[in-house]
Amino acid sequence: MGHVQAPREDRGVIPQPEPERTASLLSLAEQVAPEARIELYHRWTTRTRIAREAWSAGPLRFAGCEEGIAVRLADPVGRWTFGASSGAGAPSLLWAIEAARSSEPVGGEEEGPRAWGAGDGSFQLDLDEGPLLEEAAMEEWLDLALDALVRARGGVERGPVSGWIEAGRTVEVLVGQGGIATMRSRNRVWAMGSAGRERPLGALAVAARRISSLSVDAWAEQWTASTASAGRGEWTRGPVVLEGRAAGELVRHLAAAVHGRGAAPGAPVGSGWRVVDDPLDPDGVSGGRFDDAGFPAGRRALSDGHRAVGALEGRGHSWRPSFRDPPEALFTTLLVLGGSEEAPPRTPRVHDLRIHRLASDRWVAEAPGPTYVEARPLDLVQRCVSSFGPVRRVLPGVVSPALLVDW
Amino acid sequence: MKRSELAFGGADRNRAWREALESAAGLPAAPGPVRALFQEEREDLRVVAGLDGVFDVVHTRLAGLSAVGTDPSRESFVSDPVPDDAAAVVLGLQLPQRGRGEAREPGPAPALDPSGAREAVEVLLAQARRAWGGGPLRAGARWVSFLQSVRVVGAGIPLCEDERRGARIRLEIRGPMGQSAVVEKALRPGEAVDAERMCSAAVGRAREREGAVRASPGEVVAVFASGAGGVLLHELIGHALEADTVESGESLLAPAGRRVGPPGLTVLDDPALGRAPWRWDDEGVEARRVCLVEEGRVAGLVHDRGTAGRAGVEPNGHGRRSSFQQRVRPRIGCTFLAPGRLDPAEVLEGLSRGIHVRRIETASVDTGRGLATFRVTDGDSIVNGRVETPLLPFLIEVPTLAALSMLDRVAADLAFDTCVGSCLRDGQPLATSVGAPTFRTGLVRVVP
Repeated sequence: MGHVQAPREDRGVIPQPEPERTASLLSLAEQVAPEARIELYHRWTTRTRIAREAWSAGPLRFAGCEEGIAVRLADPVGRWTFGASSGAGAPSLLWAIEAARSSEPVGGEEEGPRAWGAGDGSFQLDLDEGPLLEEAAMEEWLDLALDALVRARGGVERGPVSGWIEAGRTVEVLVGQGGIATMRSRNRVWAMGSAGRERPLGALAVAARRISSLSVDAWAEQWTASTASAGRGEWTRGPVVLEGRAAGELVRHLAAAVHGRGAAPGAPVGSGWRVVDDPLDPDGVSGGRFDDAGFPAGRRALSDGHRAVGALEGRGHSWRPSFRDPPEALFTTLLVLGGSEEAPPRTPRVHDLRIHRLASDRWVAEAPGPTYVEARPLDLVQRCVSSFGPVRRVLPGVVSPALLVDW
Repeated sequence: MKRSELAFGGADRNRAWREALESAAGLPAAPGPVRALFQEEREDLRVVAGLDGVFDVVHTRLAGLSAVGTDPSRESFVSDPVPDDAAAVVLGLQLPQRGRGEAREPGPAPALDPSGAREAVEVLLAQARRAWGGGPLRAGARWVSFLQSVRVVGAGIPLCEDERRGARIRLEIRGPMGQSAVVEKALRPGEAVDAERMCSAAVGRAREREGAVRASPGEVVAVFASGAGGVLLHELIGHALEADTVESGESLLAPAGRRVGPPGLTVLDDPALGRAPWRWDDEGVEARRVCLVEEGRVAGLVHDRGTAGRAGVEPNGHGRRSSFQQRVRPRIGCTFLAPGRLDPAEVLEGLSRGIHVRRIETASVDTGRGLATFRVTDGDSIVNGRVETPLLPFLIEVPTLAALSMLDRVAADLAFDTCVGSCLRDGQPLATSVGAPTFRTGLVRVVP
């Protein structure tokens, strides 16, 4: 191991909200592009990743800052163009404006969520100012998690086990003509582990807003459960209990199919399918009080256990995966309600699942084994019979109890 | 200095960066030498006309710098850097971002042409409707292009510059009776979109697919159309022979010399042939063609500097990162099956029953167990040596060793980029290419 630097010499560069800077950039943009209505989005992120690889005796660290600015220029009928650049100074702004100006406009006011909000110019705040995670705490968590993973595999050495944990803070500021002004800050922790060939469906990722929400035991339990999952041929059709990650994966895909953009409400659903999208989830890694177009965001019911009652449309659902993406309709945290019923005995249990979408109305689910089972999403959502057990945060963006599905 | 002539960035700015990076690389770093600095400037353009009629034009710039500095286990990065940042990043300092922008020199002006890309998309959509000949048709198209300049320098690594670019266009059409087709084209520098040809191919295939039926499940012989089978080799062989996969014991194909296929099976990876080629990798190593499997035996791995150093071999220019914010990994760039001597029709001869795979959209592999799955979105049944009925999309499961050992007929019609996609590994996307002639293998399983 080489020289070890003093921890976190970067205290002076942890992102802090400075809305006046983005506001001053808006003034500059107004001078440069007086012909357009302007929206500016500024994102500043710092993050540190600590990784353990099978070939490295010690942990590997990867840390840094990223900052970017995005511009939307709207014409009088609400069509807009988009440009974005790394950095947040005047040259970056001018690059983004030039890029936006060189495009033909798209969209229009009728698109609703793709417009941006209005306000009186005073900043709406949504701040999470907790301390940034220390590297020592991250390393400790990672080592505990990987040791737990080794135990879950029943092994005595790490072998091909590898993983990483990443923590960081993001500050976002949105300002625009029409008075919209919102500001958000978030701490986030992500972790991923892989046991190579022991896990055919891929690595296990978890995410939360604080490390205390990332339970090593729950993480390891996923691995233990996966090895006990129904094998090839043990589940081909009929009732199945989807636990942990398998439930999360199904929820993510079904929500997109049944409640995604353009979905019509009213479709019948099973009594176990009671789902909300919750951008206000205090441990959700995405979301917030305002969406990324400046509209107020709130919990939205998607289904009530009888029928679909909501879909991913309307204002308050526009989010940006990065500063280089314009806002688009996305789920934040999908929360499956319920979990009070007893699990049926002697029902096959599946802890991992991958959905292959052959067509919009025809899927193949791949479970460990591998076992492949075909499904139609609109049928499948009606076959979500019940949910039980505690809700688990086993996939980023999904919180779900176990689901009983009559496949 | 190793240099591709950089047109991107501007002469003065490029000169300032070269000086700053070479100076930072020469810092008297204690206790160890600076391993490497990486600096990139990238422009991306995406023009999408969705099947729902919604247009998107997204034009962005990404700039950043990263370095492994005095502590070899620690890499630092910063976005939108100025040349003076190079020394600080070497020292492992995270730099304050906010406000530095005013002091930096203006970056290169936007170089990609969104109006031209949008026009290409609109011409393609209009041509598709004309070729359809009236009646309802849903059509969508997507243009993706990028331009990237990269500089790498470090201890024992002379300053290296590389300029990379790529463009591709995709057309998807859907008729009212379930007809559907996708045609993609990777565009080489200066190559224009041949809208008439793309649309003719798409419309013709969509009409053929009007009566598509379900594939019969079970084990079957598969013939992969020219180009399409490259995806199979990318998954079964390419990923299994990325050196870090072998290093971690997750490759069923290791070790070198192992027989994995018949004597006629030769698979290579050559980044220079890709749709987004690189001459130098992200560690300043010249990209070399690697023979992965030669005459049926494992012959080589793709390496970055790290895996090569640990294996005691020379790196071969396959160390890539999706951006300055990600760590370098060994990556395959353009994996292809060497052509054989048969006519494509000869590959089908004597085959009483099988499937003909024309298009694969997604794939994944478990390199340790040697099992891959592929989503086939266009294919046909084969009966008595003839391509017959079009099939609805289906999934195939392919066991690596069995499929390779039964790969017994290879045609001479090598083609690249008929299935264009990005490869996602460890969360890092990379614009990769695949190529293959028409070939057949004896064992795939149509599921469920």
